Amino acid sequence: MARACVWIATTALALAVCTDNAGAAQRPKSSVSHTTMVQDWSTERIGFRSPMTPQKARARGLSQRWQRLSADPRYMLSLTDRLQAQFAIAAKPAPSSPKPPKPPKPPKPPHGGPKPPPSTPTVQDKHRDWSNVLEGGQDGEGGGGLAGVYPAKFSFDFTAPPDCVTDFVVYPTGAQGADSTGTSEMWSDDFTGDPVEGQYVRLGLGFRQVNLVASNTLNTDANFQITGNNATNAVNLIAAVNRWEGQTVSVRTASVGPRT
Amino acid sequence: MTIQLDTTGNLAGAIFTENISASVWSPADIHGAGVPGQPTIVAFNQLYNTQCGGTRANP
Repeated sequence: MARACVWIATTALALAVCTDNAGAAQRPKSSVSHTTMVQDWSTERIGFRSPMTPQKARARGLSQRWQRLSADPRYMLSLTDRLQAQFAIAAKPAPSSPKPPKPPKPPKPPHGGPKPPPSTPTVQDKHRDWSNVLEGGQDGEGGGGLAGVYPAKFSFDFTAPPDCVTDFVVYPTGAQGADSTGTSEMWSDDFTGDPVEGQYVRLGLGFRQVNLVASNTLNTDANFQITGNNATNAVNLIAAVNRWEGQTVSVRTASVGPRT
Repeated sequence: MTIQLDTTGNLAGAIFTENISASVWSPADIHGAGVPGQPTIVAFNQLYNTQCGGTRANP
């Protein structure tokens, strides 16, 4: 913290000195003076390799030279950039993980060709990525991801504004798929007589729910017919259950046979 | 006869109910037990926290 304060104070001092020198040459009539700070991409082409703070220049006996250079806004810009960069390094916490590899440098333009604009500086932010939502992993690195694989966002109408209800994203887990194992919940019994017409077996939840209703005449759709024979009653009910499996989904098999 | 769920384990909620006369049919609920599987993809909806129906960031 103390180190950060030193840098802030140094930057402020450097700018203050710059204001004095540049302002002395062309002091405006107003009581308030301003010194412009030129900062565009062309400024970076005329840089100063090692801009010094006034304290450092004084310690080296270069105060007069510093006074002269500080009149150049580009010198002060270089100094400010350098101090800010050092401040950023000082303020950055100690890395807990190894540094990521540096990105490859862009190819140089042919000699004499037009100079490309400077690239946008990369901001080293807190490490986070989409795989964090998958949890798992170590140190918050998240679950598995695969090279070249990224989440997809689906929108049912890409010309419409984002929709809270229907838009969704899909993430690959990067893990081998596996079926669940074990046994399923089931209900088992045999008829000991005829059900009363209108009595029902209800399967499923919510909008997938269906009532399979006992009927004296119908053995189709959501009805199962009452026949007077226990085994046939079971066959009819099971057939109705299987007819509606596509809606109830949860029912895998309905079988006729000995009681489990 | 047996009516069996598609997934292993016990499903939450009353997925199976009936009102058939107890003297005629009173099926026993046989619990399941299982280990969840491993999906290869997961999906999330409810993507927008506060700006439901807002403008796109990248039109």
